[in-house]
Amino acid sequence: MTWQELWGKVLGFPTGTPEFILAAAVLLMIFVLCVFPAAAFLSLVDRKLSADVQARVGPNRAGRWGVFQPLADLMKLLQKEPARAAGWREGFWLGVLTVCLYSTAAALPLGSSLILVNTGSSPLLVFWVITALSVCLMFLGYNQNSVPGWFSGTRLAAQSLSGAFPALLSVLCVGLWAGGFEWTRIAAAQGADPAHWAIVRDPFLLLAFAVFMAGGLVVLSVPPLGSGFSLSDIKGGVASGFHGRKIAFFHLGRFYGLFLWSVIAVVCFCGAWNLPTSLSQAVENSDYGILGVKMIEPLVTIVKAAFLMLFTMLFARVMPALRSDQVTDFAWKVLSPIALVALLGTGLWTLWGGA
Amino acid sequence: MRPGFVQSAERLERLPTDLTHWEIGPFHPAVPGPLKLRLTLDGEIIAKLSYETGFAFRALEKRFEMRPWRSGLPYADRLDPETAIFGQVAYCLAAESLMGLETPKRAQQVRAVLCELARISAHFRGFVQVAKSVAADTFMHYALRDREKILDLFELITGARFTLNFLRFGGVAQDVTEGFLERVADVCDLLRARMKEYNDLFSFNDAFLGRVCGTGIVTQEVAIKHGLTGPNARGAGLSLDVRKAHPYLVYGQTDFEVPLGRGEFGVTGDVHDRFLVRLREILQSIEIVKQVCESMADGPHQLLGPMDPLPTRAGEGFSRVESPRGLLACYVASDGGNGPARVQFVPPSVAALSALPELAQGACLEDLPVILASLDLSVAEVDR
Amino acid sequence: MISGAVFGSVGRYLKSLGRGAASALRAVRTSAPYLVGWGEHRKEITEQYPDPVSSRTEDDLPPRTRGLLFNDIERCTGCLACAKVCPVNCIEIQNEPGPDAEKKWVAVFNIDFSTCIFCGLCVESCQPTSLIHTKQYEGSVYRLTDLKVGFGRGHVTQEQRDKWETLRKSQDFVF
Repeated sequence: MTWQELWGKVLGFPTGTPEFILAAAVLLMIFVLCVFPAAAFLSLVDRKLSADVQARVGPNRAGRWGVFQPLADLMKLLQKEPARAAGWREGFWLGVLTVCLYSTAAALPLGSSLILVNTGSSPLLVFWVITALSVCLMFLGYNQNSVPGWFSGTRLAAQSLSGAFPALLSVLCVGLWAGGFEWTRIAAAQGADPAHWAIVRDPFLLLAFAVFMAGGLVVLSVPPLGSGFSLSDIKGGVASGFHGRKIAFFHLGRFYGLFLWSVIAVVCFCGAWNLPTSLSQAVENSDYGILGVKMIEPLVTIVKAAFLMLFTMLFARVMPALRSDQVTDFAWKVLSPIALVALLGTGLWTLWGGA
Repeated sequence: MRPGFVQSAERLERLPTDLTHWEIGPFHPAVPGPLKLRLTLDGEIIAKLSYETGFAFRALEKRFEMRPWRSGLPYADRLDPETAIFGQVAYCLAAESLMGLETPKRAQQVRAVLCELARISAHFRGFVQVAKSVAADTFMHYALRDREKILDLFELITGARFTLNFLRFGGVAQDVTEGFLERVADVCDLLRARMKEYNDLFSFNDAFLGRVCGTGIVTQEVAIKHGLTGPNARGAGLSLDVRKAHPYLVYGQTDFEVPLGRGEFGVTGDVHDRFLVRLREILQSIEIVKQVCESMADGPHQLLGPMDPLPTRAGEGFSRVESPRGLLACYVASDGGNGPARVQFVPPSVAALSALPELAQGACLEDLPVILASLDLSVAEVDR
Repeated sequence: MISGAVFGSVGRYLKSLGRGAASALRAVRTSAPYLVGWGEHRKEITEQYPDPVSSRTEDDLPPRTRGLLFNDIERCTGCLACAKVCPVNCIEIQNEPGPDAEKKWVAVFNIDFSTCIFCGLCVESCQPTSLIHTKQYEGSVYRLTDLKVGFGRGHVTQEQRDKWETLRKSQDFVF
């Protein structure tokens, strides 16, 4: 069943509605039901987890265990006035950045029927977006027309490109091993059982997975590999000129980036959305049918991605951050050679018929 | 619009390649107090740094002259509120040398215990600054948590956490409370166990070493030229400690080492060496505290009561103490009147600040907070 | 030779990678037990305030805590020792001759808590120990003028003063 038919039925659109309307509706649904709540929930979990590790309590005032804290933060940030009026240039680059970032939702591999663009260049869309994002961030920094803006804009652009390159190589490894770059093909090449995950089936893919996650830390500027998204201007933060509403969207964008990266990592390396055959058959035979299976798949992906994200956040809180030129050094001199080795190894492994 | 900000279309969206100027401060999270830094940057390398102080000027030294002797004691505490007791020790020792008062042994020991506990607390504060500059939130919170134990001890014996106001001319204000010495021993044991945790988590962490080894190198020439003292100079390898060179209180009778920087992981005199010197000084302070607590003499805790007349006379008094930031000197002059005629402090942060332009030259912009944090400056001390 | 140099540097490269990874894992291993609060010294140390009230209530504070001041005006002799020693001149005292020739009538005894630095010199110098530190530390008020707290008995009318003068004179004749 194509995703158009599936979602047309689910959302109640009559058959024959133009595809772009369906696409828009599904995108909106993904955002409202998936991305925003995930970002809100994860921001709270991040704060509570980092408080836990620092022998503190974390937010506990807005509702029991602070569950309404993201709502309180959102309301506070939306009510803030900007400290200085933004020029049209800043608005333009912010708009381009938003469009680029959230266009990746079209290729977000949540489940086998939730991918709007399921072609061989879907994984590569993310990397195209990263190059566009670095340009946007660079100009956003320049628009602040101050030393911290110039410094942070250039640095962030350099950092995101340096992290994207080894990550791209890792994804090439996966495509090479799976025999194609479509998300569904990559997912089909793996199984639900951890013994059938890509990182277990091909040892070079384990290396590629490590490179991909490290590259993600570099691109997203997460400690220990960079603090480029810090709000402090002396640490090269491009966000030091943001206030109020922009900070809310900035945080949302950061979480979305981490979420996207973790989902791609899960799909490429950790078994994607595959359910154990017994479970999928049981659901198929029940009242929910194949639709039920398609609904459970994104849950599997999201749970696995959540584990990855939590570990990343914990790791980030505990480690000090490197300087941005040390981060780019690390990406070019450590991650890229290892990624090349992984690519070569995967190629040879696949050629000589590894499992 | 920020003041002094010129929005011209030609400048926008272009990266300037000539030298740029940037002013940081006086209020900025990277700067340890109200201090203005003027940077000339070549890209992200600092070509020149100059600073401006005076934002925290309180005319502290004048206030001593306006009040009687005893009323000036809380002002001495407020020379540097984070290492409060050292200001008072310097003032009291100088005044006591002027008045010819000899403090009882027990009072000297209590003073020494409080000084060393304050040294540990101040070094924790230094760690917090360093951790914040490298974005190590976890270590920062651990250091703050352990500093609370020491502040609790201060509250137990003096009634306040920071500005203790516990020293008087001729001794200390009150005797130790019951059970205080046992609590001190417990806290010392706890801190020793924590040191191990810190070393595992942070002190030799690769990412931290990458940030601090080889940056902000204070050579012995630089240290001598600017008059650096304390951990800043000892990190460079210079063996300067007032407690050993001119022993005061009971330091002459206690057995402790003075850790020096040896460049174990980088270059001698870099930020990591200063960090390690402060870390090891905490262990040495724990040793001193244990020794003094075990050998606490009996006797009065004060020579004079609060209403007894002070044996003032015309003359001068001078004292040097080893504060956690370096050598703190105090000069007191009197003309026999109700209060001092002049009180002057020479704080150690002045020398550290004067060495800052030389240290920052050639450093990356992102290294500036790290260098600032490693010098352990107190702007309150510099400005008085 | 060249191969030695290459292998040496490759070896150093790999060793530095290993060191980095090992120190990262060590950091996680040191701080991970805090997530579950394993061990007494890894419990959370946050104290809640004001609701629920933290462990720092008045009863839990140490006895020597220098909180807000309180003067027991019955015992106060009006000797002005506290006002003289105060570093910031925040104590204002006005005395009058009282009914008893030996004891002054402390009409005005104001402490300006906006200026007070809670140094404790006044409490130390109080001979009749009427001035003490309470352990109360919550002194926020809504108006600045409310920070000036008065413990004095108040000025009396001229009529009262005359009565007291007569009383004092009569005491002179008591043997």
